[in-house]
Amino acid sequence: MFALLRDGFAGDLIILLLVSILLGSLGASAIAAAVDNYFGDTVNELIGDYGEFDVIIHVREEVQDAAGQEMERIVAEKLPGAVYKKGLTVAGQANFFLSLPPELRNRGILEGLGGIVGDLPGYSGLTYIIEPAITINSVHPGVRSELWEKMEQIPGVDFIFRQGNNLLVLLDSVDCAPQVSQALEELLAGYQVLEVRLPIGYAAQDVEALSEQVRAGIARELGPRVLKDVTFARQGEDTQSFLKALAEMRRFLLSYAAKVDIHLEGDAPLWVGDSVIVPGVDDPIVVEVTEVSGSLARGVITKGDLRGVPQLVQTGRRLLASGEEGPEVGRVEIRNERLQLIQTIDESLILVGELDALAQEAKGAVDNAEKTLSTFHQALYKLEELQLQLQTLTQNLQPALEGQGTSSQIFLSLLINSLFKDMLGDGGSQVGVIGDLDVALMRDNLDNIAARLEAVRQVDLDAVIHQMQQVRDALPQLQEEDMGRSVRLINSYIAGQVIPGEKIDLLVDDAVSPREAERAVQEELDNEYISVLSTPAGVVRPNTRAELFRVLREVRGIIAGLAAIVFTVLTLILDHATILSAGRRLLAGKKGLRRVLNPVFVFGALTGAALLVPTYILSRANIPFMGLGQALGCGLLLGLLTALLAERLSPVDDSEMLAGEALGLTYAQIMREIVVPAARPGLLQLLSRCRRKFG
Amino acid sequence: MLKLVNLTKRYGQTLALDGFNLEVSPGERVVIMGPSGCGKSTAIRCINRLTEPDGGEIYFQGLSVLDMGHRELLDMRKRIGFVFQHFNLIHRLSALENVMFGLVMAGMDRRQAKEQAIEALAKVGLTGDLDKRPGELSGGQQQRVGIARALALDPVLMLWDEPTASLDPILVCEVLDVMEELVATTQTTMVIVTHEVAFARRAADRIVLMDKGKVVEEGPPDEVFTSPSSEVGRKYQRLLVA
Repeated sequence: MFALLRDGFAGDLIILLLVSILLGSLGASAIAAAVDNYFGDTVNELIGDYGEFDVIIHVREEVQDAAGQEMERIVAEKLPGAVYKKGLTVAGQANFFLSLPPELRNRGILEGLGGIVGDLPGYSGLTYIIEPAITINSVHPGVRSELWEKMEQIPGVDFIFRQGNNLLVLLDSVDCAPQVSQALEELLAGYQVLEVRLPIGYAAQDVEALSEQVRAGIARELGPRVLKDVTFARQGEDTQSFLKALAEMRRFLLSYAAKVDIHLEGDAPLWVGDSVIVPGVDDPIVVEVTEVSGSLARGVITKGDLRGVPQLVQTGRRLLASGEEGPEVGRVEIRNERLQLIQTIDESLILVGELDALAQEAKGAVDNAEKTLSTFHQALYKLEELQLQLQTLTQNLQPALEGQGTSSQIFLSLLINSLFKDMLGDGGSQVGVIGDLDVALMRDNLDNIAARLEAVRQVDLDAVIHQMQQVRDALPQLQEEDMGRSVRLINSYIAGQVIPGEKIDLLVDDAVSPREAERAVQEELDNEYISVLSTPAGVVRPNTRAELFRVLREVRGIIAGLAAIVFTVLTLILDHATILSAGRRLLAGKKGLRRVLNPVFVFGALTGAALLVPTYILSRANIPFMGLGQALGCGLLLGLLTALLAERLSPVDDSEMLAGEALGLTYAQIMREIVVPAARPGLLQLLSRCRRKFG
Repeated sequence: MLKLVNLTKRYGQTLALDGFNLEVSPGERVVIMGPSGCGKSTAIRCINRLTEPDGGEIYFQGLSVLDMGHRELLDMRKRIGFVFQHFNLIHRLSALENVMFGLVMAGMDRRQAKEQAIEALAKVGLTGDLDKRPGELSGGQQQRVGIARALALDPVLMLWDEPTASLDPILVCEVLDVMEELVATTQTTMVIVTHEVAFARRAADRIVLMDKGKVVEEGPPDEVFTSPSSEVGRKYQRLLVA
């Protein structure tokens, strides 16, 4: 093969390669530039010049006339000063371009524009092309408000408005776009949203608890990095409220649902979701297992009712999928918490109803006690006086006792003396003992009791009774099986809505490594199949026009790349296939290594690469997923294919070549005078013409 | 002039030359004959290395052809005229240009080359239709152009590779006449591969009979065709008798 390159033909080949690359690059660039210009002009026609319009309103093509009339009315009534014009109709959609006056270019109008023009006949949406602006795509709802405030502080930002999950940052001028864009990127780079993806089938009954556990795990391993759980934030605000209400409803129902504890005894394990059947009061009760922890399982009743029985302890059996009873699983203890609560409230209502009368009576008793105490106190005073008088009298009657008085005096004296001794007692004065009682303290105590009783009486017991009655009435009127089913239904809904695809979103700062977080969560939940992915809190994108022109640049790159490939293929077929074909003819009958590592194939592959790679670079081609490495591979492959098919693509007349050899011609002469002129017209033919002696 | 020693050539499993030997003196006309596939064309093409032999030695004018460098080989080829079985003319060139081609490429002035080409064409009886392309000429005319192309180089050795094998029987005579004329009028050393027994008997100084890549018999035509010692010779003898 390389014999062909002797005698000056290598020079021809190099010139051919250089000219091919040059022409290929120019051709590819020219085609790409033409496409670019064409599309660029089309875009300008489509969406107007820079800043000319702010919004494109899309309506269905068939009602565009009616929409135009309505548009006129809306602009006159609701958007005074705005200007609109009808644009091109594309893919069945007519477009109205709307330009807002400065006084209407504000957040309220722009965010509410969908509502303002939403009544247009055939309305199918709008696209903001307002300038100068920077769009932040896919802003996570959980971080939106936090970012919003900080974005507004960035110098050069006029105002911000929301479009779906995107934020459009309006700028004071187009000149500040680079700085604002950089500031926005730096701001967003400080946040990331970790998606904790739970494996399929992972039982997450309580999402909030699970989220809390996940956050605790990350905080323990990585420090307090989690800013907040934003799982719910992906939902709309209404949905979010609804889901919270559902979660609360489930908690409420579970509070009053019968508590079922299954003390496992059997060998066969019980899993979450299994059903256990228990003999009930009338009909059997079916319990669905919601939690298993060691030898204790918990569940909810999904069929049957306790029929007013506060507590039930029975042996449970596994309920097989066929509906038949399986082996015993253990002792099942069902407590009817709701019934116990109702009974407690009923008894409390009776008690509270009696409380007023009780306080009344207690108050009367205290009053009586106080009166008795006063009487007692007076009696005690009298008694002390009497004791003193009796003492005086005894002293006066002392002579009679000593036999100095009359018999009546002596009798009276003995009687008084005996009475006096009874009053004084053996060890001391009994009156003195009574007198030691702290009457004042007793009175204070009675006063306190009276005050408290009065306070009890002041309580609005009617209101208390009313509220208690209301609590009683508010208790779920559902049967146990209804409550169980309701909880199951709520679980399934919440599981589907709150953690779509079983995931929890956590807003964290940029310092958290997703890999480390994944490890922390896996350890916390003891599940190695949990994965954690990091997504940005938002992505700064150029505005619509810039995006369109970016796409056009990509299209230009792709067109250039395709043109470069086509040009390479053409050059290979028209020029190099001839050379390769001649090379194959020279190698015919060669043995050994040259048959295995055919130099023609090597030469062909290298030629393909040498053509395509520089052409690809020089024409500024840019095909997605095709970098220089891929271009090199593509060139090698195209060249190899050309070498393989060379004799079909450009057959060489073997007899003419042989004649040339027999005449003592060099390979260069054979190529220039015999092979190339007979081949397909191409660059090589054109270039070798000047060095050709015949024709 | 030319010496081929123990030449071997193999195409895959087929042994085309199996120790082929030949020696040609200056001015000698050697006709090589033999059954198809016996290696005649391979042998003649090995002389100027249009086919590379696997082994053996080739000497041309005392020089080892197989040891020649690229340039020497090209120079040698210019001194050897080669007439192909299928004419091997350049289709894009006219008859005259085909004859001029070798001369001009060898560096001769174009005008002089033209004169020399016309002269060579005249020698083969072509004076008209010189501007016609090969496709416009008859087979005989094409082969005569091919012969003129070889002659124009004024070669010291002419190699003829079955020059009449591709021609209609009617046109064979036309070429054979030219060949006989050349043999008679020039002193050029010739090695001719042909099946034309009558021509060989008339034109050859020596007949070389080949079979299975080897020389099986050689000698003057009368000797070889009158009392052949080889089976191949006897077959040709029967042809002459017939």
